[in-house]
Amino acid sequence: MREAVGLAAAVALAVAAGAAVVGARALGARGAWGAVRDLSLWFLAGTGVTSLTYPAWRLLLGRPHGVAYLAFDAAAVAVVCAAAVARRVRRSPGAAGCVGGLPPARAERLAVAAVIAAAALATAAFAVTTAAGPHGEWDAFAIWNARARLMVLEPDARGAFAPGRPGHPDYPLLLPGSVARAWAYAGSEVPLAPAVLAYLFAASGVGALAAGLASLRGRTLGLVGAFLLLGTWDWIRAAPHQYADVPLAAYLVGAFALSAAAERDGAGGRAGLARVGLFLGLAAWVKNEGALLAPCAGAALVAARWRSLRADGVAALAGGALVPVAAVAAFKGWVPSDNYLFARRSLEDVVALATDARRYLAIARAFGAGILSFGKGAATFALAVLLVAGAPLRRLSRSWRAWALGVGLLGYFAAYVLTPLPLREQLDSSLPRLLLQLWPALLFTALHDAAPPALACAPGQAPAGRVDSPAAPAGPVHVEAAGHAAEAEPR
Amino acid sequence: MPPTSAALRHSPSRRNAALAAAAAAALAVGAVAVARGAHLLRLGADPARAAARSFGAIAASLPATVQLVSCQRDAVERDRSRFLAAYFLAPRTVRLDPALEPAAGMRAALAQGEAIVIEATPGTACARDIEAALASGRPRTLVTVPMVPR
Repeated sequence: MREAVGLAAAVALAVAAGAAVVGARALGARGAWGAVRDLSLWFLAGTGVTSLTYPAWRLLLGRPHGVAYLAFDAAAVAVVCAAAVARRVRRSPGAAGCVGGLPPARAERLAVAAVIAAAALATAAFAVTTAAGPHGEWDAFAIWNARARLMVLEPDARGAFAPGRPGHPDYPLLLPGSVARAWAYAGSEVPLAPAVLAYLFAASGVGALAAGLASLRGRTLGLVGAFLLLGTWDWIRAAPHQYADVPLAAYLVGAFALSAAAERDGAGGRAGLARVGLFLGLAAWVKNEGALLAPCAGAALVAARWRSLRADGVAALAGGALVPVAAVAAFKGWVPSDNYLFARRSLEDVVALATDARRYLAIARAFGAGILSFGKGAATFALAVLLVAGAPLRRLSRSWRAWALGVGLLGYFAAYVLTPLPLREQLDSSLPRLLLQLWPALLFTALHDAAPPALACAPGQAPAGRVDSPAAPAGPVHVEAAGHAAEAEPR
Repeated sequence: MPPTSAALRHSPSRRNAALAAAAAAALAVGAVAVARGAHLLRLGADPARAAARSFGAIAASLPATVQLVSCQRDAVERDRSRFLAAYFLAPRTVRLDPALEPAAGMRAALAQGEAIVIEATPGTACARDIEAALASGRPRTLVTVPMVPR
């Protein structure tokens, strides 16, 4: 009984903290899409922020007593919520675009039913796979949950991070911290806790993608986004395996959706930029790859939108990322680095690898094959859908989000070039997961920034306030703003 | 704008066809995933679950350091065994020398004088080799767990 209550409290407190951090503006959103979007972003933000508390408590104060720790977390979340209410966080206009517009066509009602069926199937797949393997797969028991167990069970918390302990002691702690926090609430290392978190991360990734697209680009694109992610084999498989690539992908697509909302809000989007910074910072707190992707995305955003951002926009972006980035920096500075990519390398070794042309060829081949076979053809299928729908893919070349993902992919390429581990083995074991990290964000980028005319808002359902969209169709705009709806002229 | 796009913008049926195709793919992937998970469940063959039963039952009786002797021949599988053992036996330190054959590993473990966990399927040639090596000394604690299949 206590286990269930503790686990429920862990999730509920995280969602409450996320609501306070992401913004009270979302409370005013109406409709199913608004609820999906808000809950997804709240869970992601709240779980990320509250993941800081267990490692901090454990290292500074020793092993927490479950009830005292729960009370402390609840009080901290209450303070954050009160501060958010006191700030009277500005409610953003135009939160829903065409979502609440015309009555849904019959075809779209069927599409909604299909999405629900696909989500139900994905949930069933998660449940039966978790029942067969409740401890997840390789990375879960070798790294993430192993770190959580060591944090909870090691008599001296510092021993959990000593060199030579399993699970890469220098890896970031968002996932282990969240699992350890849930275990502390539950009073035991119940396998259900990491499994539930893994499910909610996967669901939040789908929710952030689909509801973000629906809010910004119309219901049809939201449905397509949900279809494509729920139809991606790697996503369905990685979630019950409790891999950290799923949370990383969720934070990245959440940051992209929030950035699109901030762009829509124009000069009023400073709070939105802070949220983007928070999600990018949390991506770096999930996995080391996030520490590569987050700066890529942040730099691409600043470079592309410098005129509208200016110094205060950049400050808002950096301010949002401050807490998680500071946590990453403090943790990396404290834990002796044992990262295979950087530790114990001589310059001669690195130069020898960097100048080996055969490695570049082998990696390029693996990337090509990996992209074509990703998700058992899901990428190829998505591309076909976009082409059939007439998506002007050349628009992607003007998207900073596409550039960020491209540079991130180049970063992955460089990591493979320089890895001291056996190249083929590492490519086989990690490349599909690296592609998975980018996949939801790529779907968002393709569907949002390229906005296939055949799938974007129908005439009369134009997205609200999207001024720089090359594909925003003309027509009256349905605006749902902070609890009320109104018709407006397109801008 | 390509002609296809212009045609599609005014062609709800084509748009619906694209939606239907995407939905079919999502449903197919979901159905396959459910079937695969159910297959695993029916077999009860998940190695982590088997290891959880095996290692979990003995965890409380072990000291801080455990020597693992594994009959897994593949280097990746041996690594997997070590990580699984480390996970279920945490916070104990689990050692496995990847360079040693099982019998040699057993002799080295005996020399260390710590607890020994053997991952082997009883009756196999590997298990018999280990039993022969065990004749050269007695460990502080000895536990045998069945080798988990993948």
